[in-house]
Amino acid sequence: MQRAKGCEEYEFLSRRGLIERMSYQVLRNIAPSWMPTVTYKSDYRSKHGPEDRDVLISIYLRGGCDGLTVCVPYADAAYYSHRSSLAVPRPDQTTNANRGIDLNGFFALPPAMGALKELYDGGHFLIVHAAGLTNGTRSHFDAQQFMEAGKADKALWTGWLGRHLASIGEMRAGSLLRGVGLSGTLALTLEGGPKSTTVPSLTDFSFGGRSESEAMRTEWLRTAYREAESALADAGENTIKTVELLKSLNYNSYQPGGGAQYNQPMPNGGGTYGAANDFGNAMRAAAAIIRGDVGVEAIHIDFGNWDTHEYQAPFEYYGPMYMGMYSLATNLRALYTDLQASNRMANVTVAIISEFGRTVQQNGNYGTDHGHGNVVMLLGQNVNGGQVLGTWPGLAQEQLFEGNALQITTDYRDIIAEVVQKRLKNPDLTTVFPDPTYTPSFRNAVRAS
Amino acid sequence: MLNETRFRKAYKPKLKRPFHYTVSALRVTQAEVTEADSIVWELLNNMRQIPLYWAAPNGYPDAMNLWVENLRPRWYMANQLPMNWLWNARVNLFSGIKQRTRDGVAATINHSVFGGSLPRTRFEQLRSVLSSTPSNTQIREAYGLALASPEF
Repeated sequence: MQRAKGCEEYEFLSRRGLIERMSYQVLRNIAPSWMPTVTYKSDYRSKHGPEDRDVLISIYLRGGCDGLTVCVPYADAAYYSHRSSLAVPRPDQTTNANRGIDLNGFFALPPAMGALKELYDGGHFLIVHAAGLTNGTRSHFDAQQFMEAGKADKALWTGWLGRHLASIGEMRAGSLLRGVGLSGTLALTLEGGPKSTTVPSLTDFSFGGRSESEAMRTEWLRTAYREAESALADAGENTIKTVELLKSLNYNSYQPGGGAQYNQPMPNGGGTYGAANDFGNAMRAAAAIIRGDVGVEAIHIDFGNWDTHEYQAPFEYYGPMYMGMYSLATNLRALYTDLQASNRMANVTVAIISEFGRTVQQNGNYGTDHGHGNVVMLLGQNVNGGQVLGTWPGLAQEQLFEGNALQITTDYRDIIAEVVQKRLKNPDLTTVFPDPTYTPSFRNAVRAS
Repeated sequence: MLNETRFRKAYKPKLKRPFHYTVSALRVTQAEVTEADSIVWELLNNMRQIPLYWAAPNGYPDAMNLWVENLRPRWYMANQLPMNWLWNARVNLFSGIKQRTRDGVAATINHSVFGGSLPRTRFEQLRSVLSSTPSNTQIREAYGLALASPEF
């Protein structure tokens, strides 16, 4: 996959990801043999009742995903007039290999996302179109901050998911770990969450240093902190237990259920790599954490490389858009299969957002620029899927936002707020979205039970 | 004054804020940082104190309860830094060691990291990870434990 040629601002932001990957290359991959291991639950429902609230997996597509390719409004004729070579062909062009996969007579999935069609048909995958951040910024930095904070406020540095955790009791009393960010750095989305941490890699989550001396150093720290002032002593012991807890998942021997395969080869037999491959690894880790049943109730995953100013390439296997969409769809499908095999999917909701859509008109570099309206996607057994939700604003010139982008008819917070209240059972939406100018309006995106 | 009840009641345990902690660790290990971005994004972000990210005008609170639940990234830095396993930071641990013995190395760490103020029990604990003629790896790991200790 060619790395998406992003704008200068996105390149700066995504340097964080590069630094993360480089800095962990020296770590080892083997969990110490002395660590106890947990047993992955084969049947979640045998232990937990349906009254349990969901574990949420929050996915952020960084860079501004092109929602008009992810969910193609093929019945809007203006779509084709704006995009001479990037448009996904209509589903009825039966001899065209790049044709879309019809969803409802108006929208279609691109071929790269075909893995989600069955889940859509089964009512478990929902797309909300013309959704997003109503603030009109086209800055990655601002849009990401505003969306993750849940309010267009540059002084707010806690995230909506972190505040959700802070405003509701533990799902599992005494849990050591409630929120996990599966990336090198903690995303703003999770900031402010109690018992939340970043897990750059589940294969080598540790205190750092040599694996050969890890047991000795752990005991050294345990002794040292036991003798410290009480708050520090408790924190030290909890830190050690948290690391031991995640190591006990014995992730290196994790076997996905139901024959699920993360990071599937692409149709040409080649593999995904870069951000697309990282995403598959993160989804596999998310499944392992959930099946490990260790009390984690929120998982956040960043998926980068969506800033497609040049060579968007939604049809070419190694184009950034194709590989990103292929990875997104196949790994969502794998997660669903994996968790469903242990009846765990009934209590999991996946929410996918991105900062802004892209311009309706393609540019001269086989790409698109920063736009406005986008898609929000939900996956889960209590999602009112099998539909493309939202009011379609149209793509005719006079219908566009600032003359070149999709209008927003659904505030992304409406969808997230509904998930928070109905699936995560948190009624305190004013804490989760502390914006006095915003009142959630539910769209019947999910069911409460 | 030190025996006054009011004085003793005012005592609150102290935990360095992440920026202070990171700079202290880099300083006592005489680390050369060639690229500060990675320190900020990788370390301080995980410790939750990216410079200038707290709303004005107060700055990040100097309150232990805000930071104490997030010790792992500190310990990670503490254990990686002396091994030279952090990106763009290289330490210099050996030039100040006068005697390459268990006591000599422990005393050097006590002096360079804690200003010689390490409590006796912790000093003995530190000695216990060193052999009579400590290897470079042992010295690095002893520095790591010192940086991860509650006293630092």
